[in-house]
Amino acid sequence: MSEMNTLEEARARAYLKIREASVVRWGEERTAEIEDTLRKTSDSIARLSLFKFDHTDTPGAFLSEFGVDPETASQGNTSE
Amino acid sequence: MSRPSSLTISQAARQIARGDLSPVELVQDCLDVIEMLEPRLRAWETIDRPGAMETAHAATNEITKNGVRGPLHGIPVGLKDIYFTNGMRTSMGSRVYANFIPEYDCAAVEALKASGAIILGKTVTTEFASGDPSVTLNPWNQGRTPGGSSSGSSVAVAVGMCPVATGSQTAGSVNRPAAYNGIVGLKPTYGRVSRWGVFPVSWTLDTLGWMTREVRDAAIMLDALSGYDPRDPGSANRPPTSSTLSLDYEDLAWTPRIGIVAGPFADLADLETKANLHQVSEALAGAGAIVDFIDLPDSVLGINEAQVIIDYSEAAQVHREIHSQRAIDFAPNVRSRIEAGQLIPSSAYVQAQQLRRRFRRDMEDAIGGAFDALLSPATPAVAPTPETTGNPAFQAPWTTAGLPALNIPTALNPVGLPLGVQFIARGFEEERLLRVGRWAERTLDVDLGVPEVAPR
Repeated sequence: MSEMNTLEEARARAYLKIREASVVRWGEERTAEIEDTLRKTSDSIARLSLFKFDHTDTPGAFLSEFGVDPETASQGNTSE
Repeated sequence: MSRPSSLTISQAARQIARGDLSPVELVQDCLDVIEMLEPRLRAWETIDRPGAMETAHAATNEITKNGVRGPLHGIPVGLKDIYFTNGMRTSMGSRVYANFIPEYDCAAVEALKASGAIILGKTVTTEFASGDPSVTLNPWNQGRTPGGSSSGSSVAVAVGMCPVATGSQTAGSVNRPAAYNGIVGLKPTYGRVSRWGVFPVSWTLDTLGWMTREVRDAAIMLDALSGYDPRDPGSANRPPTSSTLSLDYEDLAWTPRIGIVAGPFADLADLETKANLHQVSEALAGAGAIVDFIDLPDSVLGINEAQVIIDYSEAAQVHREIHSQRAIDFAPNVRSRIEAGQLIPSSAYVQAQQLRRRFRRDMEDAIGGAFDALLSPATPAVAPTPETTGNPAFQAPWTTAGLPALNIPTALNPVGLPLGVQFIARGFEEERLLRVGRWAERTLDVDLGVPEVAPR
């Protein structure tokens, strides 16, 4: 139950923050139009915030187990 | 006798090599099917009839003189309309790039042309390979979505417009539409196939894949397209696969070890989907597979959310410049993702990438030496109505972890909509994955046939 409460609280906090940022960035009218997407985004932020990470949790992208060793990778684009 | 357009790559290649079928006959028959069904299904953005016929004649002449280059020589292919094609319009399904004509081929098209494949044209993608509804209709029921974003490619293969078409997967855009259309879909390991020259959705998630009508054909495509490409910074420094060869020389007495995905994650599926998975697992066990249940690690509980954060953040950056000038020209769903993505805190993006690596490690350990592949539903339910492209919840975890995944069709439900299952393997173990898929395909012996679509 407390875990559920924590998630709900995190969701509420994350939504308020992203909504506030959206009003500043895109305006009140546009914020209302994209509310579903903002909600999905803030729910995702909230869920991730409940995981515990430390300095050993290296991020995943563009590192060896996701592709080539960065030492040997070029810096080209994937599209033009 | 089957008409040429209904043949798989393997069947057509054998006939072409023997001289029983010419690329001209094959391409012409595929174009005839397109002519008949395209007004009804809208699977194509561009159809290059003269170019395809010219290449087919050249291939026929070359094969008559010198024999075939390989199994793709003379085989018609559809390309998702985010694959850059030299001199052929590539619109990304968007108004922004409606008239864009690249001046070079992407790496995958280079490889396809080198193997002798014939480009029929460009298939419909949802706008920027994102989540807006598709204009393409599902051939099994035109009141249902074909899935997306590789909508046109899936439908084209399902109805015999071509034996293979390419797609891309950022969440579930290869295997979800493959499942909804009753065909095979393969999403290889992240890094296995070069994305150079394919318009990105999300640099660290995008993976190229394809749809075919049988597992062996998916292996033929993997062998042709895999390999290191320094032009793509996500490309893995590994040699091309030889998975077709390993399928052809398999030990017929071999049976796979399969882990059935269980726990809260599996509960996302509806009752019909669960029943289908149960029937499939019983049939595989009955044929000698060693089947056991596997609870996924806790990290799975945030992995779909991690996918959303990475996808939206990177898509926001991909489109940032053009969006700032032409926001109104973007479709509603992709536009809202770009706008939400610009508001995501950097801490959330980093957390998503941290969870992604943790999940990949957890899954590698979970599959470990215990299983050849995992088995999960392909989708939570059959194809929904077309306001959406469906739920990618059963694909996004493997895309995010970079693991290879294979969809195979298993049944039609009582109202004639396809059901499928998905196999997942450890990173860079596509050969093992395809071996399991081929074994399951042969064991289940399912032939959904071609959906009957009345021409308009």
